[in-house]
Amino acid sequence: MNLESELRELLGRVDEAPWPGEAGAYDRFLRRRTRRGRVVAAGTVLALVVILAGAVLVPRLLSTALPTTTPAAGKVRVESEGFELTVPRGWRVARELTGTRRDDRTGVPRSTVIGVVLRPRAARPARAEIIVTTDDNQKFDRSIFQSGSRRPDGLDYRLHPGVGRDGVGRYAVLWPDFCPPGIGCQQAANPRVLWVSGSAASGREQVLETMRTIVIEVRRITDALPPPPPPDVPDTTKVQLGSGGSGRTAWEAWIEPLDGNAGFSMRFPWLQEHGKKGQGRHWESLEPRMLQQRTTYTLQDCLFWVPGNGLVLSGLANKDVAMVRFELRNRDPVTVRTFGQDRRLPWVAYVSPVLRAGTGVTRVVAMDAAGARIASDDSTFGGGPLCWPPP
Amino acid sequence: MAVDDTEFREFFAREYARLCWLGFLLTGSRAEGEELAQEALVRMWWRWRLGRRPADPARYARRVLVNRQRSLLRRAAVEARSLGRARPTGTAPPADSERALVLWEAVQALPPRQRAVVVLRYKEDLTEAEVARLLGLPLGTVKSASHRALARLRERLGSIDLDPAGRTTEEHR
Repeated sequence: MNLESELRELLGRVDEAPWPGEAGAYDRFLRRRTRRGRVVAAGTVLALVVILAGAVLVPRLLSTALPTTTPAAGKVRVESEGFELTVPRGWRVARELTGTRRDDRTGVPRSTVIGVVLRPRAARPARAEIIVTTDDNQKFDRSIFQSGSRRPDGLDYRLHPGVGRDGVGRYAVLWPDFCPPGIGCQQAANPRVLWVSGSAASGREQVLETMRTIVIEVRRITDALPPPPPPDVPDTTKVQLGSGGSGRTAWEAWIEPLDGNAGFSMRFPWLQEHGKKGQGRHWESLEPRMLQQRTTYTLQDCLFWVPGNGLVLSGLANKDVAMVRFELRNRDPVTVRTFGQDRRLPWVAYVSPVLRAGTGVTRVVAMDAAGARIASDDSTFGGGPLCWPPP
Repeated sequence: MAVDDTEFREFFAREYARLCWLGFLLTGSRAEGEELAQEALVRMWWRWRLGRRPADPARYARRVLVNRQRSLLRRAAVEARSLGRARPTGTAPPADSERALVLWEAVQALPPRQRAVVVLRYKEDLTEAEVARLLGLPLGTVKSASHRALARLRERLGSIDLDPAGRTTEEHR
């Protein structure tokens, strides 16, 4: 049986396997369904309120509550929403719109500028206004772009009817939302909608034409652009990053290939020499995108050939990491310097001293040369005892 | 439109474990697997209730689950949990031989993207193009992830070497 067939057979078995805790699952489902029912109902009422408020109250509130902003050089950058627009001739920025957005890195909601309100410099078109802002991507519905058009850069857009008596129309533009490097999320862009909404009591065609110009010309910036590709190395790369320890605890850290793939490996020469064939090397394939996003990638090795057993933590980090601190459960943290800066690789490596078997690792913190925290990983090990019980 | 609760309940009973396993295979976490399954079923119920029952509800629920997992990956904490290389706890693998057990653990140890590709290709029997669409990845990325994953699995399986205590000793993690 080949590997693919083995995988199909093994993974297919789960379809017939029971799931632990299945007994109370339907009750849990009913509770969740009820909660969702409340959320949906509340959401519907809220949506109606928001639409009414948007149509009737928001223009008034905007005209009194928020300060006027005049951007430099006729351009407006809304960095948190990933767009930059050139203010159309004859128009001005009347207001900035603020809203709450969740910080990509911390997850903490914060108030930020999420859009702008444009108004004509002259009195005509009367009561004209164009609002440019984005929508929260959680409620994305691709159907709003169906039968629409496409910008020169390939982004879909479509005109929808306006809201309220003065509503001229609303352009929805498919505005990508890329995950910034350095945090744990995937490479592909999430969809988000850039709305260009217009209203006017007269001169509606002129407003609509201005809106269309904005839709075609608004530029992608910040998270609307794909992040740069992560640094990588050829699959044939074989470089020793460093070595340490002695006797049974000696180790070597390498970037080296296995089966045609580049990887990071920890070699333990004593075991390679005295153990069985194939023992003494822990190899993991390189995941440059993951490293770019997570900053560190930590492995553990249980030194069962050392009297009393032992634990070594090792890994790769982005090049700007100078130190790595291992925070341990019920023990003082251990900080090590990274090495391999001179190897012309996009990463550096780190290796802990031999720790006692059973040590729990609660967090791996990457720091710069000044000791400032760059990133923190508190999920890989979870704090439970590692290499315990001893074999 | 009213929902035929009996019919949905039967659907739930038939699919719940399968969905949990799929969620578990994608995330490596029993709790996350259950969470994804429950969420997929709630969404399914609401669709059912609105009279928009899909032609193949089981397939639809699995798609909802995979899409949900994909969107959850965006949240750092969730992804971090799913990236955890700790072995699953309390969920007995459906493996009946040492080789199957090693393969099962090797699949669990794959990086998230490779694992998702393997699960969708070989459990859900999707083509690479379908996997690419579902995961929102270029086809080339899926092909390379699949190739790398199989290479890693072959490497693990090729080096099974039992010590006298019956442990697999090639990987001393």
